[in-house]
Amino acid sequence: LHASEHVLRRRATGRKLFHSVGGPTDAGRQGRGKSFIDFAAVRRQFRLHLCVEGAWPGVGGYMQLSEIQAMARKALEEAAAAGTEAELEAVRARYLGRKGRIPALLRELGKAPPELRPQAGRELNRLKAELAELIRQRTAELRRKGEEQRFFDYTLPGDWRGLGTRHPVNRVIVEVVAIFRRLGFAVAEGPDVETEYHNFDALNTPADHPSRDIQDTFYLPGGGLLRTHTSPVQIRYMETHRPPVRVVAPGRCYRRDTPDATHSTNFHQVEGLYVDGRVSLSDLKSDLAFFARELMGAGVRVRFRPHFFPFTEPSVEVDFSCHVCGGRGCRLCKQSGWIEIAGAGMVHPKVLSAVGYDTGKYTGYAFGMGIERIAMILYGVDDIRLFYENDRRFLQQFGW
Amino acid sequence: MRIPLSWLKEFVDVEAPAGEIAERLTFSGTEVEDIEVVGGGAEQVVVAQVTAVEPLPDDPRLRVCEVEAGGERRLRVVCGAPDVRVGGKYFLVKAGGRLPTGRRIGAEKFGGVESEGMLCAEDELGLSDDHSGLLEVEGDWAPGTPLERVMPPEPVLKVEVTPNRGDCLSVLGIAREVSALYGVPVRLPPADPLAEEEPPVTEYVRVEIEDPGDCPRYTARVLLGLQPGPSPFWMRRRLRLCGLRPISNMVDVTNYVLLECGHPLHAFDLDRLEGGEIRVRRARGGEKIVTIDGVERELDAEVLVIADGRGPVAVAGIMGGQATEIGPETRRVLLESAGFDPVRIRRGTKRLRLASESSYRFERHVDVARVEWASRRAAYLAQRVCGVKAARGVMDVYPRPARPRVVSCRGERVRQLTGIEADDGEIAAVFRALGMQVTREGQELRVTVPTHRADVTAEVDLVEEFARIYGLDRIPTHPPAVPMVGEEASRFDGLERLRRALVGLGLQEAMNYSLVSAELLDELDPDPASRRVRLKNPLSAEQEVLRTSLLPQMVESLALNASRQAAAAALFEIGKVFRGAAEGAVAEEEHVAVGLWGPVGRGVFEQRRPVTPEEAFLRVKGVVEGLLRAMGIREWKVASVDSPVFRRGMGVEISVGEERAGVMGILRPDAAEKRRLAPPPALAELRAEILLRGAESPAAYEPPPQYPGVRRDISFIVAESVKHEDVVRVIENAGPPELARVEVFDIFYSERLGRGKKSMAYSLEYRSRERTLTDEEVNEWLRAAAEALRKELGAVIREGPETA
Repeated sequence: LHASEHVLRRRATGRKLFHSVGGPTDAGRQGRGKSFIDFAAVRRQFRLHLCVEGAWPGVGGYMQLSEIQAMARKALEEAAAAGTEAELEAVRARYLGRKGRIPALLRELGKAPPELRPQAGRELNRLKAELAELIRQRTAELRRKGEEQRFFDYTLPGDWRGLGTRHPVNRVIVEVVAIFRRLGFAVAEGPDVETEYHNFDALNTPADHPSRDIQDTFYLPGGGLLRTHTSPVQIRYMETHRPPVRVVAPGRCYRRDTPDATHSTNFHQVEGLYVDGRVSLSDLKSDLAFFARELMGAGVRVRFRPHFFPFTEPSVEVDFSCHVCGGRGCRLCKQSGWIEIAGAGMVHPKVLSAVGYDTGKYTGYAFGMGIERIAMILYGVDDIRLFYENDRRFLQQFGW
Repeated sequence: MRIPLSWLKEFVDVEAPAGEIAERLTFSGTEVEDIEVVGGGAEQVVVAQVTAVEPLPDDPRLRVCEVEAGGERRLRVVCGAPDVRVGGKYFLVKAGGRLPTGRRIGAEKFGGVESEGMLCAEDELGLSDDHSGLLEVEGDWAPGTPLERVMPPEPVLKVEVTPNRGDCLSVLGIAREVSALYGVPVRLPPADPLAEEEPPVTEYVRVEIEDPGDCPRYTARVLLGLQPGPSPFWMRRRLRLCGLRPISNMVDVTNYVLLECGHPLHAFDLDRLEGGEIRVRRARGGEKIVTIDGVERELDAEVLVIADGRGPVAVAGIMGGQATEIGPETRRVLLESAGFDPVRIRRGTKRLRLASESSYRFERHVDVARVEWASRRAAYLAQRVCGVKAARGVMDVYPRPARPRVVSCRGERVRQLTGIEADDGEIAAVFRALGMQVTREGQELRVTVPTHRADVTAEVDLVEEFARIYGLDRIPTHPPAVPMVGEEASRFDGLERLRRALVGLGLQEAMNYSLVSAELLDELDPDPASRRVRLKNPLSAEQEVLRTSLLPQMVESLALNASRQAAAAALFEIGKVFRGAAEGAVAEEEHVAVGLWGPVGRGVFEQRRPVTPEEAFLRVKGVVEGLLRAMGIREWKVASVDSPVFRRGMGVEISVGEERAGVMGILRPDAAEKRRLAPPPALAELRAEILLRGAESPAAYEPPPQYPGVRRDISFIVAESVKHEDVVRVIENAGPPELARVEVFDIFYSERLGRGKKSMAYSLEYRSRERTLTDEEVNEWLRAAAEALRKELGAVIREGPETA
C-alpha cells in the first residue's frame, strides 16, 4: 500500500522518493538530521501492534505474544545497530531469510489458536515488512556513508567546455558604438572598396593632397581604392538621408604604411557624424565628453587642440585626460597627462554642399577615432601587430 | 621644424618661459612636440685667453699653452689645434670638467706634460661636427666667464605645422602666432638700408616667365664683390640650432632668410649663367641637370626649371644646379627670390623624388607679395656678412600682383558654430590680433586677410581662427542632449549576435589582414585566380591580393599556435572577402570562418586520446550546426564537395534552402603536414548573410507536449556506405506522424560484422499530441521501421521489435 502510494505521489509531484518514505518510521524521521530512524517511535508502534493477550506455539513449542514482541524489538535494534553491510546481511538472514525466524513463525501460524491467528499473522507480516524496509534503508545509508568517507579532490579542474573569447578590437568597436547609441546615434556602414570621389573628392581633399599618393593609398585596377578612413561613410549616408543625421560608422580602413609596432596596412576606425539645424563645437565637445566618461571612467576630461583636416573647419584633435594617472602624468601618457584619441571638427561647408545639403540651413560635426589605438591604450598593448597574429595566449586575455 | 626661442624673441616681446609659449602654441593649432635645451650641462667650461704657446718637445704636432682662465694662476694646457695663437680667446674645459656633449675631461699627460684642461673646437662643444680648428670666442668676454653666460643654454621648440599653414614654416611665422596669442606686435627684421651702386640690375640680367600660372613672381638682385668664406658664428649657430649645416657665407644667408621668413631663396654664380638670362619654364623632354647634391636628373615637362641661355640651371623651387652654384671663386651673385605654384612644385618633387627645405615650403604656399622684401632682407644680411654691394634696383617680374582677400563673417555664425557666446567686438579683436583688418557692414564683419594667410578664404575659416585663438578650452559643454533615437542596425547587431554565439560555443575570435599573398590563395582557395582583386600598388608580396576566403589565413593562424606549443586551438573570424565583379567593380561579402585543431570540445580527462579525422569533422560540424541553430536556422543540407582545400571525401558544402551557405571539412593532408598541423584541422566557412537572414525570422511558439512519449531502440547491421541521412530518411518515411525523433547513438565496426559492414543503433521516440500511446501500436510502428530498413537498405536487425 505504502509503496504504490508513494510512487503515485512521486509521479504526481516529481519529488524524490526519499522525502515520502512513509510507514511507521515516517513520523520519527521527520525533523531528524542524519539517522532517520526514531527508535522510540518504532517501539511505540510495535507495542501497540503486539499488545495482544495470548500466545501460540512457536518453533518447538508455544511462543507468547510477549516473546514475539521481544523478538521484534531485538530484531529492529540489531538492524539499527549494525555497523557494516555484512552485519546487516546477517540480521536479514537471521530474521527474514528462508530459514529465518519470521518465515518460520509464519509457517507455524496454523498452529496458533484460531482467535489469535489473524492478528498474529498481521503483526508478523507487518514486522517482516518493517524490518525489510529498515534493512533496506540502513543498507543505503551505510553505502552512502562509505562513499562519503572516500576522499574527494575538489581541487581538480572543472570539466565543462568554457566560453571562448572576443577579439579586443571588436570588443572596443562594439563598446564605442554602444556608447554613441546611448546618445541617439544610428549605425551606418560602407564598403571597404571605395571610389576616389567618396574617399577624397567629396571630402574636400585637393587633387594633389599627399594622402592620395600612390605611396599612401592602395589602389585597385578598376579605379577603386581601399578606403583610407571611414569618412566616406559620411558622404554615402548623407547622399541617401536628409538631416537630421546622427550616425556612427565603424569599419576597416587601409593605409600603405610599412608595418611596425604602431602601423598596420589595415586597421579600424569609428566615424561619427551629426548634422542638424544648429550643431556647434559645443555639442561636439559635450558628446565627446560623455563618450570619454563612459569609455574611460567618470573622472576623464576632454580637451580640444586645433588641427587641420580638409573635411572639417574648424578642425581639432581630441585629447582625453589620462585614465591611468588621472592627468598627473605617467608612462602611458608620456608624462603629459593627456592622450590623443580622435580627430574631429565642424563638417566643412564644401562637404555639405557635395551631398546637396543647404549650408545656410545645416551645420554638423564629425569625428573619427582609431580603434586599435584605443585598444592599445585601454589594454596597454604595445605592438599593433599582436592584434592580427592570433596567438591564443594573446587572445585569451580579453575574455568574453 | 625647430624654432630657437632667442630668435623668436627677436620678433616679439614676450617674457613667458618656453613651456608656456609652447603650450599656448599647441592649443592654438601649432603643435609644439618638444622643447629641446641645446648647450646645457657643461661644467667648468670657461673663456680662456692664451698668453703663451710653445711646442711640445716630444711631439711637434702638439703645443703647450699657458692660458688665463680667471683663476689665481694661469693654467697649462696641451693643445693639438694648429690655429692656436697668443691672445686668442677660446673655450677651455678644465680637467675634471664636463662638456655640453656629456664628455668628461680628466687631467692627462702628453709627452711628460700634464694638461690641466682642453681648448675646444665646435664639435667638442656640441655646436657642430666641425673639428678643423678652435672656436674663437667673439665679443668682449673676460677670461673665466662660464660658457653658459657666453652661450646660454638655448631652448628650441620642435614645432609640427599642419599642411594648411605654410605661413608658419618660419621663425617669423611662429612669431606672428605668438603675437596674436599674447597681443603684442610683431617686429620685422631689418631689410634697409641697402648699399647700392650703379649700374642698375637691368644691365646684368634679363628675366622672363613662360607661364605666370607656374611662377606668379620672380625677382632677381645682383650682389657684387663677394668674399666667400664662413659665415659668422651667430649665424652658423642658428642654422645649426635649426638643423641646417652651415656651408659658406652667401649660401648661409639664403638659408638664414629661409628659416627666418619662410622665403626660399637661391644664389647663382652670375658669371656662370650663360648670357645673363633667366627663363622660368617647363623642362623639355631629354633635358638633364646635375643638382647641387651631385646627382644627374632627367627632366620632363612636369618639372619647372630656371634656365639660362644654355639650359636648366636649377629645378625651380626645389634645388639649384651644380654648374651655377656659389663656389670659392664666386664674386658676383644673382639672388633669386620667387613665388611658384604649389601644385607645380609638388608634381616636380614627385617626378624627381627629390624634396628640400625649399620645396617643402613652396608646396605649402609662400607669400608671393613678400617675395621682394625677402630678397631685400637677404641682400641686407649679405651686405653685413659677405661684404657685398648690390647693383641698383631689383628685377621684379610680377604680372598679376596679389591683392589681400576680403572675407565676410557673421558674428552670429561664429557663435552658432562654436557655441561660444562672444560679442562681435571680441570676435573682431581676435581677427585684428591676427593682423587682419576688420570693418563692420550691417550684421557682417568685413575682414581683410593678410596675403600670407592663403588658407583663410571663407567664413568657416574665420570661425576656426576665432575659436583657436580665443581658446577651445572656452567652448562650453552641456549635459548630452539626445535629439533622436538611433535606428536599429541589423547587420552590425547580427554580426555581434554571431560573434557571441561562437564565443558561447567556446571559440576564440581571431582577426586577420584583408590583404594576403597570391601564393597562399593559390594553395588554399578553390576560387579561380581570375576573380581575385590584386592591388595596383602593393606594399609587399605578402599583402598583394584582397582575400577571397578566410580559410587560408585561418590555417596559418592555427599553424602559428601549433608552432608556439599550443596543444589545441578553436578559432573563428568574421570578416569581409572580396571578389572581382563586372567592369572593375568589387563584390564584398561578410564571411564566418571556423578552425579547430587538436583535442577541442573534449573533457579534461580526454585530452590525450588521438583525434581522428572523423571526430574532428563532427566537431566542426557540431559548431556549424550550433551556429545555424543559434541564428534561428532550422533546416540545412550537406553534400559532398570536391575542393582543393579539403581532404578527399571529407569536404562538404552546406546549403540553406536553395542557397549555398558555405563549406566545411578536414584540411588536405599535405597542406597540414607542411605546417606541422597534426592531426589536420577541421575548417568551416559560411556566408554571414545567410546566417543573418535566419536571425530575422521569429521563432514560432509550440506548446510543450502533454502526453508522454515512448522510446524504442533499434540496432542493425548495414553496408559501410549507408549514410545516417539515408537511415533517417527511411525511418521517417516508414514512420507514422507520431514519430517525433530519430537519433543515432552508436556506430561500430567489427570483424564479427563482416568486412564492409557496420552496426548502427538508433533511438526512436513516438509521441501523440492527443493521447497516451499504447505499447502495441508503438511496437507495430517499430516493426514497420525495421521492415523498411531491411527492404531499402538491406539492414539486418540486431535488436528491435522482435527483441523488445
